[in-house]
Amino acid sequence: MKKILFIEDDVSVLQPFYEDLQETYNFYVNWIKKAEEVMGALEGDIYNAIIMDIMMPVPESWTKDEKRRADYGMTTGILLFQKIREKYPEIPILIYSAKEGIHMDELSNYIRKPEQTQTIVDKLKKLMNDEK
Amino acid sequence: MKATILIVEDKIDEYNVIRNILDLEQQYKVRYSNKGEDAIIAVEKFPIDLILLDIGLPDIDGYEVCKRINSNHEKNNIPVIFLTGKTNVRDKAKGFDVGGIDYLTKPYHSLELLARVKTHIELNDLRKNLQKEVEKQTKEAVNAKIEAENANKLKDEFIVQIVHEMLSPLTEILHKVNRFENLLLRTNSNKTELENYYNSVKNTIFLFKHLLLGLESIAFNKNKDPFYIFEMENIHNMIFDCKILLEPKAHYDKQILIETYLKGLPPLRVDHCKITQVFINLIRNAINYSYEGTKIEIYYKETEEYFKNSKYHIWHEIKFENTGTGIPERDKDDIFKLYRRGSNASKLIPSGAGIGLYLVKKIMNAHNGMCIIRKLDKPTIISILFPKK
Repeated sequence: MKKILFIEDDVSVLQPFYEDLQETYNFYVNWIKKAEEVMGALEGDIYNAIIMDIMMPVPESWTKDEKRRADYGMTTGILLFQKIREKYPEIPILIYSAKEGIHMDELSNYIRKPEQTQTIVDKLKKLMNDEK
Repeated sequence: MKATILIVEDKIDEYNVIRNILDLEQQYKVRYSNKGEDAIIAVEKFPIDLILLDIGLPDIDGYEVCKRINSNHEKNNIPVIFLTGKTNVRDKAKGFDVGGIDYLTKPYHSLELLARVKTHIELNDLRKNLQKEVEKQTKEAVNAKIEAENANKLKDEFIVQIVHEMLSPLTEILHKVNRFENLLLRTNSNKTELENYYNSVKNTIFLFKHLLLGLESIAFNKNKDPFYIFEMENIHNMIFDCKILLEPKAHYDKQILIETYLKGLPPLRVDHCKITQVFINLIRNAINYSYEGTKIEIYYKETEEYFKNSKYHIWHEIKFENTGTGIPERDKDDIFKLYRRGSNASKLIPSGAGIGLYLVKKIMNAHNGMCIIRKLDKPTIISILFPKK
């Protein structure tokens, strides 16, 4: 079973998506709702891929400069992406956000909200080289 | 205020003649220098409105004095009238060349001197006023431009925010529909679970509708007033319906409880759709700005209070109380303005487009009511007041 780290603060909006990922598409999903818990989760387990949001509250523990660079929450995910990449260069990351898309790197993809759950899963599988 | 005239003349008799002529008018203050250098210093030290300048002076000549004064006072030209016995056209021309405004040859009649002095002081006053007016208008135009640019920037940010805010309910609806499909495809699908999903989809659609209506009201602001339909409504039920719409969000996102204490709240004549927007905005704000695991309390009371801009003083007051980041003191006056988000908005919630409280105030005004901040912090209390008639 593929393990997915799902980083998203908007619980009520994404709850059904989360349920489908687990029950319909048979992923094991660890849902992290706070940006500050992401690095700990990655240290504690091995994940096949990450699905993450961009606009999230900035962790209190981040430096003043980091908070500014994260535009006080508007682009928290971009900074978080870079932090993850530094430590885990190989992990596929799918960004699922309502914000205007940007290309991050070859091992990532960007989907703008909303998109069909099936389409997101297809792209995720493609990123993980698991298209069967 | 009396105009000050500087007389530059080395011969004391000549000075006395001019002085006596000027005193006839009794409206000039007179200063005196008998040397060119002294005249230049006097202009630096004192406000001078006009200079009567002799050409033949013991140190530097009048032309040089005039040239130097003009170069030092480019912006605030002091009119210089040359007074001299030189009648040569070239001498006169030189006087104008170095910046003199007029030239009087001796002997002159006292009335002529007074007339010229008066004219040049008046002309110079006009010039100064005109210059001030031009500067003022230029400054106003620059300020208007900055204001327009700021408004434009706010509007651009607003559009980005509102698009984001609209995509959120759409995302929720799409994933719920997807989930619904997947549940239907199962052999052992659970009817209650299915019902929950389509009910919540309907709720989300209603919230989306009110988001769009709120946007529309902003456009109305510029053209005409929105259309209100007043009917007796059960406010208790309206608040309850809004609570149902927003409770899942409060519960799932932040484990927030919403409690109501509305005993005694009577039916009121309101526009159902508009007041629904008021309740949705106030409850949603309370959720967005609350700490996790806290409570939002909505309660009713009858209040007696006088306001400057209202003829009513008995009110039906509905209070919305929440515990969270609070309203910063610096936001107190701006928070009801269009596109103005709380300055702490993006730190806790990266959302909100800054139209909520603006709309609430506008709708309450149309009901002869009020929206006021009762308490900024710990807990934050925002009240809406309907007049008791």
